[in-house]
Amino acid sequence: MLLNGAQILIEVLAKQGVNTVFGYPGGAVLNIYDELYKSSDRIKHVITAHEQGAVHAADGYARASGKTGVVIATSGPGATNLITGIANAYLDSVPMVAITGNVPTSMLGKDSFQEVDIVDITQSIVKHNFIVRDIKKLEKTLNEAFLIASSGRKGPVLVDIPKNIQAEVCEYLNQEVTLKKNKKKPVKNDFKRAIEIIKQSKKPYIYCGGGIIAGNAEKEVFELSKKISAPIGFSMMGLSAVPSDYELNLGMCGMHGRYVASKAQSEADLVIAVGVRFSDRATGNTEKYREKCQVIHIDIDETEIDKNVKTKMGLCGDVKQILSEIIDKVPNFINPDWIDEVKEYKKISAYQEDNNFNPKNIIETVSNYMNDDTVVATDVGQHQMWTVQHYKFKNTRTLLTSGGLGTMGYGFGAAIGGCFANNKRKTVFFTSDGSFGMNLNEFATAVTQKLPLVIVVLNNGVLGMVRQWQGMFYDKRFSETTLERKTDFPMLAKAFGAKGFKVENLGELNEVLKNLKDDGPCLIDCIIGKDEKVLPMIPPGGSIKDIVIK
Amino acid sequence: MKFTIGVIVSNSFGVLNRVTAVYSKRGCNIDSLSVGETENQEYSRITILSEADDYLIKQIFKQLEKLHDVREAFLFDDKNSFSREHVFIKLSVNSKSKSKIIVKVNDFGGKIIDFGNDFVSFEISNTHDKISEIINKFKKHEILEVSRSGLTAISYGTENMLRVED
Ligand SMILES: Cc1ncc(C[n+]2csc(CCOP(=O)(O)OP(=O)(O)O)c2C)c(N)n1
Ligand SMILES: [Mg+2]
Repeated sequence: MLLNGAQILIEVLAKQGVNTVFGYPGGAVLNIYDELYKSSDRIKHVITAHEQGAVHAADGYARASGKTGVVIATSGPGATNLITGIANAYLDSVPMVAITGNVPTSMLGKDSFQEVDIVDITQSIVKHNFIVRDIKKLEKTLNEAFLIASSGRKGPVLVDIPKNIQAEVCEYLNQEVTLKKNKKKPVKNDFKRAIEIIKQSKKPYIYCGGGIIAGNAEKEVFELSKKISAPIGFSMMGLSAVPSDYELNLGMCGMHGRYVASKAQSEADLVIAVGVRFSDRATGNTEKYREKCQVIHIDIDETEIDKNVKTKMGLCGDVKQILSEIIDKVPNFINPDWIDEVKEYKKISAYQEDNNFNPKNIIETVSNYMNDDTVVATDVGQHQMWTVQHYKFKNTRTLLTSGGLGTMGYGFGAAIGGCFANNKRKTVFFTSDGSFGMNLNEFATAVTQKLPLVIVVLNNGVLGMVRQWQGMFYDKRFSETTLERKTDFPMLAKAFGAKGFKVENLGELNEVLKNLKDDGPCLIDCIIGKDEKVLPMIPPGGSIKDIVIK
Repeated sequence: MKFTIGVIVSNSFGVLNRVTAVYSKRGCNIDSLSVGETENQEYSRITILSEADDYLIKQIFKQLEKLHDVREAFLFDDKNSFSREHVFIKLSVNSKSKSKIIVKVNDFGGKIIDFGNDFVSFEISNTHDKISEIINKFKKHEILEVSRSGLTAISYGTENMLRVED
């Protein structure tokens, strides 16, 4: 079948099971958009307000669905607008294919109108990227892009397609591609050793990251925890993998994690780290980290083993397979002493029980109105930490948050993508005044698409997270963090064609939540104090001994 | 610690960039580098000499292996491999120094390739360190040009080799 480049792209998208893409048209992708127009019954294209919104939407869609997210942008400024979103996906290992147009091959390298070398620009923030200069290579390259994005440690792949390649024709082969890379797998002896180490442990602890979700190993982690009586702690990326009401789920550990999660980890004699990379935010001081414990590190990416923390042993490969094998071979193990010890730590909490209109109570209240499968997106700052601390996650893949890059402005696009991934069901988006100001233009998208987004603005009038650091480490010199803008968020919502409410106590909040209709976005502006803190806090480079609780 | 890594890479756009970025991102300077085609036109072979501590060497090696374009990687050392670098040197000479220099070049196993009344050019093959040493020794004469190839290496024996096995 003879097809042009744009048609080949559509065929490959369909073949890869893509039915929703996000993007923004322009001169260098006119041919692609022409084919999208003709194929709207096969592939839904969602136009956002800005390419950054589109790339975050593709990211949110991927995290919520487990599929590869797809974003399309034109050359030049369209392509450069994707950069933050690509980097965000790279640092959180999110499978994504970004398609950019470029000037015709004959115009490349001449500083032509809207020409940028996006392959060069994105090189250090993609898993891989391509520019297709030969129509005969287009089909294979696109299929390879999907394979690379979704295999091994997942990540974004960019394919730059010059305009003439989109128009040229060649035979569509409907070919299968395979990667020539060798897959790593642990050998039998490694398993034997690991089982021995686990058997000898009196205080095992399982430490999980996003790799559990990416590797679909949620069930296995849960089973291993039960089988060897090991509590589970999470990096932020791993939250939502195991229901928050499971008794051995200690929640998040690290800089703003729960006392019990960090303390139990520091008291354990064995940490089984799965799909986690010991980032500085989650681990603190990596030297002090190993004072009492041995580490078995299980990860798909060999470069992570011994990168940040020296391990007793590493098992590199598919986390689901490795965990199943361990569960098979390790004997049942009950250790009431260890469980009791952990229960004692649980009693120490940074959170107070009261009925004040504070972040904890706001998030818990919102949480009560949501379903097990409700997708939750956040922006970046204090509100993000409060959300991951207090929201009661039930199902896996329900948390969309920017971990590695900490991208303010991530949440709105991500919530839109997550909502599409979840059949346009109710989706919550927690944000604050600073982050919300960055990409609030996506209100337009949410309204047009009639998305039932509940946007909860924890409005403290400040760049709270930075302010907190200025308060603790810079003698309260609040340089440029007091915004106190005059923006009226509920009115802004109305201007975009959405609903908006301002609430100042829990009663009002309950009232709004009770009457939610799932017919479009609704903003709830929650006015909170500017000096609410995120606690506990282990200061950067510190350990559990340095934890600040109150 | 100095270390040499050889990689076999697919012959695609920008592959050299991707490989060197693994070093530069980690603040690691490349002392010497060579790239050449292999017997298979799909692949090229790159040999890189650099300096880092144990931790970084392991990281760089694993990060290189992870690159999509890298098919195989190999950590060379004196025991498992043989390495060579090639150098061209052009010296300014006079009638007095000329014959001495020619003798020296012969001692180093080099070969004169071009000369005139006031200059002589020669080539020498040796290890990276030895070539640095040789260049130093010629510094008492006026050096007009030096051009060093990158380092290249091959494994000893047939047990552990750097090659693509399909
Ligand atoms: C794009 C971007 N710019 C700057 C920062 C640095 N930063 C981290 S948190 C934060 C404050 C966020 O303020 P807000 O969104 O109001 O959240 P709050 O902390 O008040 O809940 C800033 C400026 C960032 N993470 N991302
Ligand atoms: Mg704020």
